[in-house]
Amino acid sequence: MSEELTAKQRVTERERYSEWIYRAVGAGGAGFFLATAAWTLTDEPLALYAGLVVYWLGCLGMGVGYWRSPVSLRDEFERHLEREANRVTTLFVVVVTIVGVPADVVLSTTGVYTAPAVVRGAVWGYLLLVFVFVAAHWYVKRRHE
Amino acid sequence: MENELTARREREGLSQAELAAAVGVSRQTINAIERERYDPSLELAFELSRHFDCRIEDLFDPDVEPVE
Repeated sequence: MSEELTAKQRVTERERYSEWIYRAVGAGGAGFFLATAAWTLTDEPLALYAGLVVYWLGCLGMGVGYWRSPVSLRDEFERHLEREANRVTTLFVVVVTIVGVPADVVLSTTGVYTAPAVVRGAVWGYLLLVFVFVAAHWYVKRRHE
Repeated sequence: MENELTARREREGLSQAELAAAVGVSRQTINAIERERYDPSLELAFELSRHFDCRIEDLFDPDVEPVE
């Protein structure tokens, strides 16, 4: 929590920047949706490109909101919930990787069963995600040492 | 963690939203603490104790054995 702002100011700033972010994301999403609708009617690729630009501008607006906000946009309980959800997601990914990767190697090598490409892609993608997690963990740990 | 938050808040005639605004968090945070579903950070515990003008241990009971 910032020392310069009072508790009420923190709440006000959080609401102000959250609203900015919601509007930016809403405008970007709505712009992309409208552009896609326009493309289906006109078959003009330029409409799709314009929609993509509007969408990216919305993302940029969201980033600016996060960057400019003097307070964290989620309070500590919301961050706690986020950490819990991250923990559950990580557990899921790790379990699927631990079970899935060796099984895929053995079954496909022996020719007993070859999983559909989409399943194999997901399992090996999860392995990559585990490596990303390990690298991120190492980086964060180093920053705290 | 057991706490006296609900009793003290009601004694002051505050709603959860009013207390949340006074200490700079969301109403859901106050609700979760009161229902003992969430233990606040030290920073928020200090903020709450400052608000109620009491010590942290008057508000929260960790229910742990003190270290010898």
